[in-house]
Amino acid sequence: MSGNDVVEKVDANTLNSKNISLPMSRVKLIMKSSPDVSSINQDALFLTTKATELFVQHLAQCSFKKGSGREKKTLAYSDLANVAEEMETFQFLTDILPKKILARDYLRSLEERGEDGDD
Amino acid sequence: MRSAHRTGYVNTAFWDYCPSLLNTSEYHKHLVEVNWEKHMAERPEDLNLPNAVITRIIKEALPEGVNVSKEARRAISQAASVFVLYATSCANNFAMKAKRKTLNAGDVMAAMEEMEFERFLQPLREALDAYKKGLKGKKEASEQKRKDKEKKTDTEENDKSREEENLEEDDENMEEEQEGENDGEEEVEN
Repeated sequence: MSGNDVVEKVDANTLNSKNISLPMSRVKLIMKSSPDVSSINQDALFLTTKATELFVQHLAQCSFKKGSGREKKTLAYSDLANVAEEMETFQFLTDILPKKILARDYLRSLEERGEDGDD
Repeated sequence: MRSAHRTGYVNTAFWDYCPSLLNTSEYHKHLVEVNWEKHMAERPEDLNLPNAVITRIIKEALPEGVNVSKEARRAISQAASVFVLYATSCANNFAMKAKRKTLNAGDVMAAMEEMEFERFLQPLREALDAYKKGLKGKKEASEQKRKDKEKKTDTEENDKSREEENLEEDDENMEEEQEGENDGEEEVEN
């Protein structure tokens, strides 16, 4: 019985019983990076992990549905940027899911506004 | 301003394209700007969730045969990390209001409501029940096995030692599952 085998077995067992796929240890790392957070109860960690999974599903589904009436075959980045702007529930994502514009259009709009490049 | 993408597209300047940030507190803006950018630059792997798992969750949520672009996948993964941060800071506010230092389940549920994800509340409650039952069951099973083992070692002879080794292996798995849960937990209060 090697150490690795035991660890793999443990992970599989643990995942099945909890019915979540995301690793709680990683979620915990992210939570800890938030200032002012001292400690996190195990149930709270589980709930946050599960909620994140539900969130991923919800975001993917909403982004996909937002497309035009025609048959959609691909979920693209623009779908996500659109849903972040259009749905109130995803407004907190606008900072990290900005819409993209062509570089030349952006530079032109800067010139029109008379600003030197923002940084 | 981020550098222009290969194809000539550029992410617009931070505030130019953001609609009114009425739902985002100043604190959160700061969090996203400072913490997020800094962490992503220095140690992106820390704040990222495993791509394979994110991809699987996305695929299972969408109709069969739908493709998800690499960029979309990466974006959803980052969004998920930001969701964790936002939920944590929100839950922490509730804990601090109650003068507690430890985030508990109630804080997270309150945060979901605050963030307007009421749709998650019921599935979360059910999942938590199942999780707690699962832990309890394992604990009882592990204790039962330990008791059985003690009985056996009292009366057993060497020819049964192979059976014991199997039990031991299961025992260690049970113990490690429990310990694995608590690994890295500095102050766990349940």
